[in-house]
Amino acid sequence: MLLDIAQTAVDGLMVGGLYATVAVGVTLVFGIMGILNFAHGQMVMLGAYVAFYSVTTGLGFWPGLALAALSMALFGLILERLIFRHTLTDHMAGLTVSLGIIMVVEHLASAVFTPDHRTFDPPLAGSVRFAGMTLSAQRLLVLALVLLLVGAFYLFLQRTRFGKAIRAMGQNRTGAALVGVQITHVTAAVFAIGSAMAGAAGALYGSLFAITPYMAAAPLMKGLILTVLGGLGSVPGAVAAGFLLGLAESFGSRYLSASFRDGYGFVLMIVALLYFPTGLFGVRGTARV
Amino acid sequence: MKPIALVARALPYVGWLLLAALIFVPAYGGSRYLVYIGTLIALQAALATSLNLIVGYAGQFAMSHAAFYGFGAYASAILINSAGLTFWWSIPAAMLAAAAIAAIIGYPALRYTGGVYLALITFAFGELARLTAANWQDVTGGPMGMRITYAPEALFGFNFANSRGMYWIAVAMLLVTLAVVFFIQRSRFGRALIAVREDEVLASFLGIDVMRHKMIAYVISSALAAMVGTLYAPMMSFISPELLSVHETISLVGIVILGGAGTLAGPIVGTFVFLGIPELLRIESLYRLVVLGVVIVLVVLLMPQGIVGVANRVLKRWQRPKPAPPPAEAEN
Amino acid sequence: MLRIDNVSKRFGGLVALRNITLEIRKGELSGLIGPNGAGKTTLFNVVSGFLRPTEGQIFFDGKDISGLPPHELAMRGLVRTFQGARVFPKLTIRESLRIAGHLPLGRGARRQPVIPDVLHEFGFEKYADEPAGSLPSGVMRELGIAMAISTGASMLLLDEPAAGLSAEEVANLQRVIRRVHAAGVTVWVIEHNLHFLMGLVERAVVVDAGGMIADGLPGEVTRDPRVIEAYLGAEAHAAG
Repeated sequence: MLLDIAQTAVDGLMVGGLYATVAVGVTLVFGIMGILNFAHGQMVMLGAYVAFYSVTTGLGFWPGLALAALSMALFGLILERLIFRHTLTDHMAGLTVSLGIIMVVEHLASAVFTPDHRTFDPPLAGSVRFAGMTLSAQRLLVLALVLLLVGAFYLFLQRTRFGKAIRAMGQNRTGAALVGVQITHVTAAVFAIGSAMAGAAGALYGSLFAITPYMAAAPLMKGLILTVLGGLGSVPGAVAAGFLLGLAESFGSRYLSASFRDGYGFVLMIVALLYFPTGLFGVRGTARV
Repeated sequence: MKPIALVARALPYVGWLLLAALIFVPAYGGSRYLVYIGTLIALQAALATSLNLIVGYAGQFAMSHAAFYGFGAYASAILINSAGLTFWWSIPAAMLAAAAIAAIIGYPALRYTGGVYLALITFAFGELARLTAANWQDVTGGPMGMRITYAPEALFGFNFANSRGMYWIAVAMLLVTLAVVFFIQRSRFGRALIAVREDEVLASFLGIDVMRHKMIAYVISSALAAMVGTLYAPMMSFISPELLSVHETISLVGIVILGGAGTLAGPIVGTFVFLGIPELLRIESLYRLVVLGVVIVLVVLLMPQGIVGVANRVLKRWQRPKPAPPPAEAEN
Repeated sequence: MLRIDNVSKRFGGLVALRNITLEIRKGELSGLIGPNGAGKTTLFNVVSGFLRPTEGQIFFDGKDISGLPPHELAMRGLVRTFQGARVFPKLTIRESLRIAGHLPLGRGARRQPVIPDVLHEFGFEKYADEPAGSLPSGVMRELGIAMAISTGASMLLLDEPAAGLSAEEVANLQRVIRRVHAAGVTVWVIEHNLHFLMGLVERAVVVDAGGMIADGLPGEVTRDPRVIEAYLGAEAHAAG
């Protein structure tokens, strides 16, 4: 019984880490630009395909992971420059264009990649026995990688000059401009970084689960839920909420009902919005980084 | 009055007359295929028109419209199959249930300004509804969906059980929805909704109960979506959880924006452009959605008023006897 | 008509208003002055339902209105305008005024506007079908007041209506405010600019650092040493 719980917890943390990787991008973009980018999940999907083609063409998983992050960063930059920069001040317009982007990316992907389910061989096979538990080696690797990604991202925000500029902008756009933060550059960079995280999450996601052009809905939903749970715009909030949701789903589907797995998050989110509208970490109710 | 001003005045009426004429084409001269397309367009236009009430007039971003549409289809099918209701009675029943749910969802979602919370909660609700439909095997038939074997009963001696009969129901639903939006637009309530869309704070200081107005618009809009859904079930003889998918809502939002949010004719024009023309030209649905996506982005960036919004502005300019003096520049 | 009874407002540890007690009588045209950051706007926000007072009560027409939402206050006849010009920029004057007529046009309306045809009275006809966002800023301010009147208001709170206007526009605005007052509306104006107020109001309330420091005829108030100190002190700070 205890072993079962431990195993469920490790599974939950692993999935939660993936969610958190997606959510930090969503929440950061919302905090800085006031845009709720519903098309963020499509980057996860595209990242997974980049990794898939890297592995199947013999390039390997690790270059694939890097390529997924880089190509999505580039894609994010293009989207920001062409589209989102022009909808900055308008929530509704930002939301609407992101819906348009979903339609384009998703249906083109389905035309190009075909709707078939794809999987690729993960870099690590087999399993590890540890304290009586059997853990899949690839799952452990993914857990380590997401912890690394989210941790590095957090340090980047806290420690580097650029990270501080981003946080300053999240708190006060005009103020940041006055003290010399280059708003347009930071905005573009935030979009690129968030997209790169999504691309990386996609590659990791693809090493565990099947890839389809329509897979984006699940990570996106999770990302949005976390963004709300963690407090719109709060990065630590999104990370904490990510692990929380991963655990909730893991335990929920192990001990309650597996087929309702995707529903637990929505229940959490609706309850959270009813009772903690500013989220776990959004004490002041304003967007924070 | 100059001839161009006369034309400008007459054009909107010509448009509505054209629509009225189009309505009769499938009913009399049409092939089976035309009747089918006509029903589809009428349903989609009714759905877009009802979404326009909350998105276009009240300015609130609800992403649950397809969920209420699908809810209407499921609720009416379940009521007919299990509770023995007639098709006609299942319509108000489904609408009432949808209205109650919309009120429950709307209350927490609409308390906050800015639209993001409403988008998130309604999005979550929509997905939750879809998951429920996919998982509640005993009642909904699960992910494989539900066969529909009933048809609308005859009413006043008119047979509604064939495709032409259902076409008339779809047209009636479109007209009801249009009438609701038309009267709201002309009413004190409708003007208050527009004030809420333009500036919630200012509206509240002018004596408008913002929360109440948003709630009523959301409830009416959702109940109308459920009404349209009740016909979808017998028309397609099959319903599945995909009906509730958020992708349906996304296309609907696209149609409303493309046609012109906050205009009466916008959703109808949007539906014709999105559904009617590609269907008649037999363009594959996949590419139609890609093109709609591109069009949504372009419309938002380049002409946020949509087709009808732009047309209205042009017509208004033509209606003026002489060009208006250039508006004085604001000083600050 | 409006009675503010020992009202305080704190934001966390910051005291924005301290024990304000005063009464505005029916039919008065009075001013609220004070240096920047003195708490004028906070006081208006508390009275108009935008903020809830931390302590104390506010009575309007003898009824406790503390903490009521803005639309309830508008229903009772207490309406404010906003700093600068807050209008519906995309709607025309005609549309804006119809929206502002929301309450009087409703069933069971309690009051009708004191000026029935504002469009004509304020000389808006030539702009009536222009979007409000494209109007000259003086006209925009007048529209703000016209909209407030059209709700059937019996008391107006005007928040810095004259800021940033040219001399001619200020003169027009003063005429509009006098016209509204003459029609029977009680008016209370916040203004930073003393000259604007002195020629207009019959009574001035002065606040500084969240507290009330003077209340009386405008001429007397400006000679009050505490008022002079508050203004000069603030200017000295601004200069330094």
